[in-house]
Formats: sequence, C-alpha cells, structure tokens
Amino acid sequence: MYNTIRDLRGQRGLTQAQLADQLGVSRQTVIAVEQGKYDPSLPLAFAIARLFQLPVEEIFRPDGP
Amino acid sequence: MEQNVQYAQKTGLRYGLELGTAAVLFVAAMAIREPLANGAGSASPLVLALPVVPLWLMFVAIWRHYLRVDEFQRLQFLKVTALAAGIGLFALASLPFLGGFGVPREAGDVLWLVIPVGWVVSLAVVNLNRAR
Repeated sequence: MYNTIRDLRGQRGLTQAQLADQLGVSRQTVIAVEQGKYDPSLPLAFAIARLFQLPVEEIFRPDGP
Repeated sequence: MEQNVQYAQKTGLRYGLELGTAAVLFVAAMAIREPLANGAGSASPLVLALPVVPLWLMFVAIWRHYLRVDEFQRLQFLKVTALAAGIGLFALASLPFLGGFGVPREAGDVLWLVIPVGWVVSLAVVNLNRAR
C-alpha cells in the first residue's frame, strides 16, 4: 500500500522520532510504514490521519502515487 | 524524540537483562545438575529438574517483551519467535535419527545450542527479509 506519510511529515518539519513519539510507536515502525514495508493497523492508520488532520484515504492508497 | 529513543533503549535493555539473567541461571542450573546426574544416581528429582525453572523464566522474559513492544515490532518478534520455534522443534525431532553420526540423542544435551542458534538464524532471516 502506498502512503504519503514521508511528505506530510516533511511538510510539518517533523523527524521520524518526533512522529513516532506523537503516535506512541517506535521509530522503527514509522520507518517501516514510510518505506511501505509495513501496512499499519486500522487504529494506527486512523491515529496518523488524525495527527495530520486528513482523511485516511488521502494518506493511504491501494495503488502508487 | 528523546522519549522514543529512551523507551526503545529501555525496552531492549530490559529484555536483554531479563533474558540474559534467565540464560545465566540456566547455565548455572546445568552446571549444578550435570555432576549430580552423572553421579551415583541418588540425586533428588528436584535438583535434576532445576534447569526447567530458568527455561520458563526465558519464556516469561520473551512474553513480557512481546507485551511491551508496538504492533510492527510485535509482528517482527512473532516472525522471529515462530521461525526459531520451528527450527528448534525440527532440530530436536531430528536428533533420534542422527545418533549414528555421534549426535546426542537427548534433547537436554543440545538444547543450550539449538535455542540460541535457532534464534540467531531466525533474526538474520527476518531482518534480511525486511531489508528487501
């Protein structure tokens, strides 16, 4: 699954560790999600959407960019 | 940022400490048990069963770590654990057939080697797979 987390994080000037802190997960998890190597659970996906104040489907897409 | 790094470090440290302590206790229990088991045969069954306690302490350390980590780490940890358990199980099941090559037939004689080797191989496989 494709996601725009890296871009959104960059726009907000957040580091991976800061984002991980705000989401209550490890930096390892943020890296894996950003690289598309791990698709987060629904609760985590909604937490990400809430943090960036965007709908989930705008952040996660089944296809590429 | 520091909060996350500190938590990750603490989690890893706590896991290492708990698992390491259990491993040291296992080695100590084996050291106590071996001379008694190979002796006159009058050793108490309780003393002979001593290594079981640290073995289960290892399981508790693994379980506690599983509960501490987040969802992605938990998935990776489960993959490593499942693979290590599989390697261990099949390695131990192979023992009775390899006696002709001088391999010990008793699981207890090779457990100390099978568990860590299985774990290291599993870690390598899962991490290599993740890196792709």
